[in-house]
Amino acid sequence: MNLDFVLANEIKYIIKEKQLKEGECLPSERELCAIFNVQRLTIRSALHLLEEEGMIYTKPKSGYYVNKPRVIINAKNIASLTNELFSLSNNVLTKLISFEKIEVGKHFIACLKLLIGTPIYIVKRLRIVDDDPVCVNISYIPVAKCPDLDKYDLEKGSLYKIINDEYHIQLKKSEQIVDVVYADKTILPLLKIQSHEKIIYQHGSVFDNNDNLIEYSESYMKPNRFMYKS
Amino acid sequence: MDYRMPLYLQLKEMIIQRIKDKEYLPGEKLPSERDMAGAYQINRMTVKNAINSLVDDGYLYKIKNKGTFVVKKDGDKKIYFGNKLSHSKFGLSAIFKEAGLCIENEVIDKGIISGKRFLEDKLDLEKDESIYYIHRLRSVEGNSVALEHTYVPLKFFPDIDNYNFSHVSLYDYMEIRNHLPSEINDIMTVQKVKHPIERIMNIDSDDFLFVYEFIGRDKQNTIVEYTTSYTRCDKASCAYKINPC
Repeated sequence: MNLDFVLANEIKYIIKEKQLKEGECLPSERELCAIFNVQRLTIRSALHLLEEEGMIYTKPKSGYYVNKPRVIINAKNIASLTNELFSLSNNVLTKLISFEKIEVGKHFIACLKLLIGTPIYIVKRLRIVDDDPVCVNISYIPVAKCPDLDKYDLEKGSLYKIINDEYHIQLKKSEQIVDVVYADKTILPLLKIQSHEKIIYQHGSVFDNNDNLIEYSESYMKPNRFMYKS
Repeated sequence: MDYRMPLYLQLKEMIIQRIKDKEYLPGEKLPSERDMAGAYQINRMTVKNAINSLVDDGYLYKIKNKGTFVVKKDGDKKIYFGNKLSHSKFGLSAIFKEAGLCIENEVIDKGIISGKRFLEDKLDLEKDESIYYIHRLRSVEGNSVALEHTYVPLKFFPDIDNYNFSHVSLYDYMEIRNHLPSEINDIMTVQKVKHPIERIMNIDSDDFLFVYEFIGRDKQNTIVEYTTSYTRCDKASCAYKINPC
């Protein structure tokens, strides 16, 4: 057993037991040393593990504080990311980066399983939570399923809500894959991250109850801001 | 493509062609950036741009302080798991078997601990109840795939230390003791590899891992397992399927 890991977990338990919320202060290094009867250096490396995990942050000469919680992505239900983000903060912004109508070419056949020439919309949106850009979503939607999608305000509501309420399509089935990749150059500046950092790449399809593809999507997400729950 | 095209594109095209022609074989190390710049009298930045772009496109990968290599398509066969794991009562081994790969387990640490509040909370135990821990390194064809830290309440598995889980499946054993997890909840996060895991798994220190936390409950709805699993992102993808019947 690695002592740093054990201690890091025990500190996690303290945060849970004391119900410390975002921005609240952890016990000091000195207090933690006394609780666990270990050296300052040991406590520091355990705290460092939690910091790397994004659970806590430090303020120099002040102490350790609880970080923003991760956005929970529920892998058991088809939920809109908009709703998941709003459950975390009231300060959620969706920015429409681009809206295009194209015809399916060779590049998309494999992932969309649609014939060449099928018209689709490509909606690229940036999600910002508490001024922190957390995710870029690119949705590919067959025009035939959602004609005139451009007449709706895609910065305001959830795309799934529009699909459900306006087009009366029930999303039933979803197949998503999560990978960790180097983000390409068009994505990095949007998320304000350094080049050659790895990020989460979630991609997959959502179908209606007749197994028709309604949306294929690609999402690039900051690793330390999300968790998947199933 | 003709000679008026930007040099980095030409270099890119040349490398792709050589990979296709099997001149550069999967897993092979590419000539250094310096050598390529010298060979074609081009700027090293141009070479760097071409290589980075091929890394982004998935043709090449880099290992820090070692060089740039051609992606191994077959050896890098990715295994898919995610909420599939929660439904498969046989765990990681079964998923790898499905993919035609044999998983080797190595127990790197085991023993009895108590007094760890975090684990007591996860396993829903009283204070100072004994917990048995097993840390296993799981590999395929000699390459580490996952590191699993499993914790079980000792009271349900009093003879657990008599078994060697390098060979015996933990879930088979838990089934014999009537405490096989029948429902598993998991949380997955993507985290940068932490010390000393990079050393144990022999991976690059800035690489990321899928970190799963499983809570397993048996048929009586008692928590019988808490596992943290660190899985390599380059060896596996995580798949989530929602398909209500």
